[in-house]
Amino acid sequence: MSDVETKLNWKERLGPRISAEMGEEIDVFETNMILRKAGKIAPKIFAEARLRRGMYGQRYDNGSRHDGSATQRLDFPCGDLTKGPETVWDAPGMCRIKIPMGVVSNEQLDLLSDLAEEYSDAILHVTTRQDIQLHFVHIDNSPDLMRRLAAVGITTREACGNSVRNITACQYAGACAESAFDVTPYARAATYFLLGHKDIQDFGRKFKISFSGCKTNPCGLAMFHDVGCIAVTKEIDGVAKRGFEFYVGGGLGAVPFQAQLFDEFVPEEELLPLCQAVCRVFSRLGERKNRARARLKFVVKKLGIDEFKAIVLQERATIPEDSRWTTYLAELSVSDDKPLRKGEPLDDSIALPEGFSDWREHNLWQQPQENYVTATIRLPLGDISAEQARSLTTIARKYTGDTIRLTVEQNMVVRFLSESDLPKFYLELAAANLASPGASTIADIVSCPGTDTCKLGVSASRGLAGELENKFAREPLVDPEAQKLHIKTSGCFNSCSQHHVADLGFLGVSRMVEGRRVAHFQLVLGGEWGNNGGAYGLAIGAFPSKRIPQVVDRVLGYWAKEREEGETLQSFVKRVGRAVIKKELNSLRKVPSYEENPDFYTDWGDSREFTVGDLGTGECAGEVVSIVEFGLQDAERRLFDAQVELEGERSGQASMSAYKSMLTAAKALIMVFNIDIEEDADRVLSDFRKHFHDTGRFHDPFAGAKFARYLLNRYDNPPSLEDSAVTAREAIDEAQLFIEAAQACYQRMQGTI
Amino acid sequence: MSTLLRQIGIKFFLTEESDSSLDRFIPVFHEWIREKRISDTLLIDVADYRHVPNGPGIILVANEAHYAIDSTGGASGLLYSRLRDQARPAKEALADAIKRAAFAANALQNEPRLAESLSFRTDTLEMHVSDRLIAPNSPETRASVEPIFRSVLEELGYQGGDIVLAQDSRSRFALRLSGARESPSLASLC
Ligand code: SF4
Repeated sequence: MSDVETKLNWKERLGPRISAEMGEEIDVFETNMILRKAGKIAPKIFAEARLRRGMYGQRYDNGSRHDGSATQRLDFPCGDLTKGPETVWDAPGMCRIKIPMGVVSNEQLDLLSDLAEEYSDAILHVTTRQDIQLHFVHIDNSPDLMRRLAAVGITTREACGNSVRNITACQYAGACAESAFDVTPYARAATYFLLGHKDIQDFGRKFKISFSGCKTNPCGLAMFHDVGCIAVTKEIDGVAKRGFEFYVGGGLGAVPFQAQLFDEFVPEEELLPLCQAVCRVFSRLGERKNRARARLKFVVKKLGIDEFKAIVLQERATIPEDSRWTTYLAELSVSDDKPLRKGEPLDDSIALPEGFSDWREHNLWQQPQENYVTATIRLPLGDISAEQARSLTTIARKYTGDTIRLTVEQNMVVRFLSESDLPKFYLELAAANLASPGASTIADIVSCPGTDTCKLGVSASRGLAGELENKFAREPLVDPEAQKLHIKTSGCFNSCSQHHVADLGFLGVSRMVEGRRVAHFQLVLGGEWGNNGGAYGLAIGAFPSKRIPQVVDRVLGYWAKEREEGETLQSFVKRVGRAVIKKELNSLRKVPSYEENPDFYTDWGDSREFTVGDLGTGECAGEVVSIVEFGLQDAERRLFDAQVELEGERSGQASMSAYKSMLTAAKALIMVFNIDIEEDADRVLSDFRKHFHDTGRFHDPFAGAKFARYLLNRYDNPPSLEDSAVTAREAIDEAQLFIEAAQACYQRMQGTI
Repeated sequence: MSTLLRQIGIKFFLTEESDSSLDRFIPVFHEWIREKRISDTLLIDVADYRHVPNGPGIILVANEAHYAIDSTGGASGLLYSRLRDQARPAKEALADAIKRAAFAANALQNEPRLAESLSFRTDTLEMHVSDRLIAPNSPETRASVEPIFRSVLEELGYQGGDIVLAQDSRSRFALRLSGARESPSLASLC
C-alpha cells in the first residue's frame, strides 16, 4: 500500500514458501527474459524456453490482425522486441498451468482465481488435458505468476513444448466401482518422476501419458496417448497383484492412430522404469526434421509393435536402478481424498429444490463408498469465472474438503459428497450459476480455443460450441439415446478437442466460394468416446459453419428414423456407410451468395468478414508450425481418409481421396510463395507445374521427377467412383510417396535438409 | 508516506432500463478496433464470454487495459481494468481510471446502434485494485484508500452516497459508491 511496501515483490513476499528448486528455475527463466530483452538470446531459443515454462503464443502475436476489411498492424509499445520468431514481446499470450491428474486443492483454486483476475481476464479455462489455461497474459507478468503458483505447489514446467505434457487420469479414480484400483498415486508418481528428468529433455515433439482405472469408460482415454496405462489386477501365486495394461503409440492430430498393446500386464514396480525406457527410445529414434512425423506413433508404426517392444525392453535392461521407481509404492494412500462429512443417505421424502432432478439425472456419479457421490460441475466451454471458482471452493470447503478435480471434458468434479447434503449443495451451486444440468450429454460440448485465441485456428470452434449449447438449451432433446452422444469441436485438424472420438466431431476448415473465404467445419461421424476413446470417426465432408446446427439436426433426425433397435450412432454410421450419409446431408453444403446471405461469410461470435489471414505459426509442438506444414498435414489426413475408405471397400471413393490428398499437398507447397488459391485442380496443377515441376524444385535427388509425375498423371487420368480396389491401392501408394516428396521438398526449401 | 496504486478497475453500471444483451456489443467493439476509437490505447481483439453467467461478458482487449461489458456480481456495466501500469499516487491513478472508464461508457452510450437502449447510472460506481501485492483486501487497505477515493469523487462532482467494501475477503480489494445525491454526467468526466 505505501511506497515502502511496494518495494516488496512477490519473490520476497513469498520467500520460503517457494521450494529452492522451483525458485531457482523461475529465477533462471527471469534471467532469460532479461537476456532476450538485451538481444543476447536468439528468439527461437527463448521461444522453446518459454514454452517449456508454459508460456504459449496467442493469436495476433505476430503483430497483425485482420479487422474484417484489411490486415492491420498492431503497434505494440515494445517495438521490434520479440519473444520468439515473429512473436511480439508485448502481445498477450496464453499461460498453461499443469494440474497433474486434474487434482486441485481449494487453496490452489483460490490462487488460480486471483491470478486470473490480476494477470488475465478473470476466467479460468479447463483444457482437455486437465490443465488450466489463462489467456491474454503478458510475458512480463510470468515470473510473478509462476512464483505465486510455486508457493502453492504448482508448476508450469513442461506444460508446453517438446516435453511430457500434463499426465491425465480418471476424475473418478479412487471413487469408482468399476476401476481395478485407484490410479492416482501411480499417475502422480509418474508425473513427478518424469518432470524435469534428463531423459525427456531432448524430445523431437510432445509426449502424452494417461492413466485409466478401467477399460470401458472414457475418463482416462488410454487409446490415443503416446503411453496409455489401464489398471488391471492379476493373480500371481494366489495373490492379486496390481499392474497395468500398457499401450503405446496412440495419438490424434491430422492422422489419428490407435494405441497398440505393448504388454497386457506390467507389474506396478515396472511402471516407471518402462515409461522411462519408452521415453529414452522416443528421444533416440523419434523424427527430428519432419515435425509432422515426429510423434511416437510414427516410431511405433515404422518399427512395428514387436520390434518397438524389443528395443524398449533392451533399453529398459540398460537403465540403472532408481529408487524412485518404487519408493512411492509404500505410500499409495497419500493421495486419498479425506472426506469432510460422514456419508449419509438422502431423505427422499423431503421436498427437493426446483431443477434438482434434472441436475441429478446426469451430474451425479455413485461412488462405491456408501452414501457418497461425485458431482460434476458443468462448465460451458470449459470456462469458469474467478468469482465462481471462489464460490466453488467455499462450497467444497463446507461439504467435501479438498476433493475438486478437473476433467478431460472441461468440467470439474467435487467428490465424496454425502448424499444427504445434495439438496443444500445443489442450491449453493445454483446460486453461483454452477448447477447446469446435462453433464457429459450431447449438450455438454467440448471445444478447443480455436480462432478465439489459437494461432492455428481456422474456424470458430468455441463460437460453434456456444451456439450448439444454446440450441440444446432452447430445444432440449427428448430422445434419451441422442442425449448420450458427445459433440466436440476443433478449430483445425490438430484435434485439440479430441473430435476423432466424438459421436459428432467437427474440425475447422475453410473454402473459397465465389472469390470469398467461407468458414466451414468438416464433420467426423461415429467416433467412440467409451472404451478409452476406442474408435475414430469417419470424415463425412465439410459444411458451412453457419449450417452446422442444421447438420446436427439432420444427422440426429436421420439416425432416429433409420436406426435399428438399440443401434448406436457409431454402429449406424458403419452400417449405412459414409456415402449414404453424405448424400443425406448434401443439400446442407451449399453456400448462398454473399448478396443473398452475407451472414455465411462471417463466423460464429465474430462480426468480421471471415478470413484465414490471421492464421499464424503455431507453437503447439514447441517450434513454429507454418501454414505450409499445416497444409501438408491436411494432405496426410486426407490420405488417411482414403485408407479408411479402402478398408471399408469404397475403392472409388478411396481413389478420389488419394488424388485429393496429392492436390492438397501441392496446394500447400504453392503457399510457400504466398499464393493462396482455391482447391481447384486446374489451378493447383498449373501453379504446381510452374513453380515446382518445371523448375525441378520438386524433383527428388534420386528419383527425379518421378513423384511429381504421379500427380500430373492422375490429373490427366482422373480417378472415378468405378475404380477398383487395385487401382485405389495404387493411388494411395502413389499419394503417400507424393506427400513424402512434398514434405522433403518443403524441408529442402527451408534449408533443413 | 503516499499511497500508491496500479491496475485499477472502474465499473459504471447500466441502468435497469438498458438492454444488456451482449450480442450487440461484439460488432461495436470490432468497429472500435478497426477505427482505432480509443486514442493512446492499442485495441487488439474482442473476447467472447457470453456463455459464462455473471462473468466478464464481452471484452474489448487492449494492450493497456480491458474494457468489458461485465456482469460479475449480477449487475451489468462497463468495466475498465487497467493492466501493468506503474504504481503511482492513488489519487492520480483513480482519477485517470475514472476518466478512461467514463470515456468508454460515454462512447457506448452515444453509439448510434446502442444509444436508444443503453444508458449508465451516474449515482453508482465501483473501483477495484487487481494487485494483491500492493492492495490486499484488508482493513488497512480500506482505511488508506477509501478517503482518497471519496476525495477524488468529490472533486469530480459526486456528493453523498455510501461506500461499501466487497463482501468476500478473498476477492480483490473493491469499493462501491452507491446512492450518490449528486453526480456528474459521463461526458463531463471524460
Ligand atoms: S485444434 Fe487447432 S485451433 Fe484448436 S487449439 Fe488445437 S491447434 Fe488450435
